[in-house]
Amino acid sequence: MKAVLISLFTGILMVGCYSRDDSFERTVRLQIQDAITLDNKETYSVGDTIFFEVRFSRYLKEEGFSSLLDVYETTDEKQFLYSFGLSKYSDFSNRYESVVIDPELILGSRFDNSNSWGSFLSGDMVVELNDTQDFYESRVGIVLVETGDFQLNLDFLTFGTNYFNDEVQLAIEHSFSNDSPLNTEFTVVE
Amino acid sequence: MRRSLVFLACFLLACFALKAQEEPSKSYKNQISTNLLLPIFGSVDFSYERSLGKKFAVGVGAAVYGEDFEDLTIDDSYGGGTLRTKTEIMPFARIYFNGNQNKSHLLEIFASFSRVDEDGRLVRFLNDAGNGVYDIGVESYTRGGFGLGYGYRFLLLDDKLALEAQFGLRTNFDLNFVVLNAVLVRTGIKIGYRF
Repeated sequence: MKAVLISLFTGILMVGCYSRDDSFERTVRLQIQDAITLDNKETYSVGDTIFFEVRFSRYLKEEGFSSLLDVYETTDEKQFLYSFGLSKYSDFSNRYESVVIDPELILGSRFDNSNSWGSFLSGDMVVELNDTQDFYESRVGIVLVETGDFQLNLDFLTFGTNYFNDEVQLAIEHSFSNDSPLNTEFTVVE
Repeated sequence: MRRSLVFLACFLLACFALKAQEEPSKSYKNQISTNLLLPIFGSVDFSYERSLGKKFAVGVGAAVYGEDFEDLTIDDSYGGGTLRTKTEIMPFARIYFNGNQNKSHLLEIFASFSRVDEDGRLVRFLNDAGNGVYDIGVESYTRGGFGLGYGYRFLLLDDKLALEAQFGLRTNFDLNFVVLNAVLVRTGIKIGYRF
């Protein structure tokens, strides 16, 4: 009888382990790699424009599932917001420091943040579903107006829905693979 | 209101039992029982119990809950969604302070494996093209819990008929703000047959 009671009591204690993730998460997180291309030039002149492009499929792999996720049907959004950064090397600090870019110097589809709290750094841009509705795309140009050593901060971008409500939220986290040929550093000369 | 009636019924039954006469008892090892109050909430349960030794018993209960069962829970609004317990299986152990062959106060511990529907969750499904799509919907899953109960069991008709008044609380270890969630489970007036 003691063995039965001990077994039962042990079983009851283990019930606490029979649980699940109770976080009330409504954000779907996906990871993509190498979705950004760049001119890859090392030197530009003042007045030139440097371009980079973002392109990823509407159908994305999701960890733990064999079927691709249709991010458009999931969110019903034709645009996802993202922010990139630009840094300039400073001899004062001996490192790259963030630069705020005049919106007039950024070419491409921007996020209308007139109703938001404003943007942090250089650009709040959007990737848009293309006409054939199979890829999200964004082409961004930055007019280079001063000399120096610069670095585009394109790693670890997150493309996502731009506000919270009762609908499904999406965060597509981008990173570069180790063998990515992308060079985000460049120099601007007179 | 319903909850108050349940408490009142349990209290009256306990008072009534204290006046009952104790009679010579036979030894029965098995008992099946059902809760008479659960049908009020559109629910039903059954329990099987096996006596062990002189004071102990172990068993298992199973319940199917209707929508009105939510009146007995404080975790029906959970993190913005709604939890609805559909079914539950509860292995339990009891100690009868006056012995398991006599009318007696009893203390019970039980585990719980409940099947719940929770709405407001992210649910993934496949569309016609075979691609995954998320939506906010109902997610069904099983979760564990733990409970304690206290009651009194009367034995009637040569100890073949058991009548129990019991109060039980079960938690799934979730917090509602700062309060551990709790549900009235295995609470009510039970009638049982011993053999």
